[in-house]
Amino acid sequence: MNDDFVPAHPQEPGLDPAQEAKAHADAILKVEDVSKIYRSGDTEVHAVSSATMAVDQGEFVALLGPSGSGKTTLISMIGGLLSPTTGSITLAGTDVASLSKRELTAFRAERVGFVFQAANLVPFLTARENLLYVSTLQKRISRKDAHARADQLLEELGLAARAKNVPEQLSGGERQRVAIGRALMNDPDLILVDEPTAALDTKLGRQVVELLAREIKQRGKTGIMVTHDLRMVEYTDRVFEILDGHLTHVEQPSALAH
Amino acid sequence: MNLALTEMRRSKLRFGLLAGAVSLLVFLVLLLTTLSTALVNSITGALKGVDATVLVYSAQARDNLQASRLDPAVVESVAQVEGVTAAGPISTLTTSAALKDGTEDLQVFGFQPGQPGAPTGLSEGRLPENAGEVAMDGGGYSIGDTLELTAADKQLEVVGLLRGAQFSATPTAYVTEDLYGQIVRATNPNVPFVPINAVAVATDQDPATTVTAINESVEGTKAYTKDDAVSLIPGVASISQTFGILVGLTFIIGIVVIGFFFLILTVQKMKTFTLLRAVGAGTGRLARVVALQIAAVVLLASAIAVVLTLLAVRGLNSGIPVSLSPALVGGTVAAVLVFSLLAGLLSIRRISTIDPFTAAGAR
Repeated sequence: MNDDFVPAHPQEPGLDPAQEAKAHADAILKVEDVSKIYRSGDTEVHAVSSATMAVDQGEFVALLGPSGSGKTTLISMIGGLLSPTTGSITLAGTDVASLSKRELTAFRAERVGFVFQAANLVPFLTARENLLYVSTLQKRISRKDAHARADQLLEELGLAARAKNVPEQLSGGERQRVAIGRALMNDPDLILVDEPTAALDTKLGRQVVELLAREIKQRGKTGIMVTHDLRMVEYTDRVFEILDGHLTHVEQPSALAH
Repeated sequence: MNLALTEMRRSKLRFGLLAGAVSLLVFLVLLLTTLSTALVNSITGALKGVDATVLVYSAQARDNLQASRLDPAVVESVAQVEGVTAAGPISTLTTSAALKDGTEDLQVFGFQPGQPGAPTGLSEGRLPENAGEVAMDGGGYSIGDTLELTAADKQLEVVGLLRGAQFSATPTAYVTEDLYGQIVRATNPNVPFVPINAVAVATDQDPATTVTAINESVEGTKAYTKDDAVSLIPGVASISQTFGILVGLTFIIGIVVIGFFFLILTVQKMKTFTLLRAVGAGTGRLARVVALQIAAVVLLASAIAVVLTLLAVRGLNSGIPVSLSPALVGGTVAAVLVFSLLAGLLSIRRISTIDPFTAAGAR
């Protein structure tokens, strides 16, 4: 799956942009020299420094890093939740950094599916309604198709019997599965997953990530999963590591996981 | 799927309590307004409803109909004034009667049939045409009943029923000027003539112009437009003002309560709103959720409040005719709705400050 894998050296901060661009010339997602700098008085905090990465259509990659390393900041910029200070992000031809606030809202609704750590669902909507609601935020899928699609997704995620339950009545694993369904609902180009297993035990966590990987692969979607759990990377195609805002392309996942 | 209504359906208790609290405040506004309107009407109804645009009192009456005494001949002088198309006498006194509802105080108005000064607001029957007939507002009478004037020792047939025609919040009887004279003489046999209280004037020009013309040409009198005469009735201004303050305060408290309630609900839901912003819901869409919920709560609360007010109006034994006017209900509900939505801007402002990035839970 990764015949174009380019080995890198974790000691050297940053991935060689030229190599990355060459290896993934047709990548659906291109992150080029992206930085996020927070200013607080006279001090500057570099949350992300000159990050460059490219992800191909159908790839599921992991973004590893300890807390505070900048991994959430990076995927937030990729997902249009946050604007980069410098650099460019292109998703299927759209320059994300150039979008207005209003355009970013529509971009998030139609092009990106999010699975967040926690508080991931609307508490007063049932599992099915959580999926259906996001479909009202876009125009590509008709209302009728949305109902069929929601039922199909819930079925695939093993939630058909829980469709009418509100999040409070669901287990942690079921909730994350609903969130995965929600992320896939609008048929986005990119799925961004932030610590999906943070609130789950190991066994449940593995099940959820396995399911996530399967859905992404089956549908030919592109996914990025932020995690600090090395055990989860075996389900991904490639692994990036971020440390103090510096992004590097590391080992093959299998080598890391074992 | 409608997010606003789905949430309300799932949180019936929360929104039910909110609507309950709001309904009590709307109920208070409606009841206070209805009562004050009824009270003012029962004091002023006779003058408000009189068939005239200008009223003439004696110059010494200090703007008070009941303190005014005029020679009946003044009617003729007023009728001569330019712009006056017709003039008629208005006379009034309080007397005792054995009323059907058990009370004894009766306000009597005398008028000349066919002339200005006759009452309006007939709800049933007709106005009296001779000295044996009476039209009533209050006292519990029906057409065909007999009204017994104890002080004047007279039995009168009730031929008409009036609404909104009371004076001084007392049951009021309308009789012909002839009969009025008989009532006066029955208790004061030696009066040289029966004085009238006011002259009712019909005019074909601006009432204010006629007022000036009468004041300039008829000595010993003071003319008023009907609206001025009504607002000068003793006590009316202070009653209106007192109730106005009460209603205004209740209204303001109600709006503030609604604004704060929804702000609390919004703050409690910030996590959800942030999530929705992150997955692509615009601020306008979320603002509409709050606006729709406010509208739904206000309308539900208003419906409850109207029922409560109707029950209260029916159950109240206030001694004055009270009725709930559709215009008042409509106006009050519309005002509460508009101002509640304005108060909802507190919540909407809060929503507009959401940074969707915080849904990602870091930094």
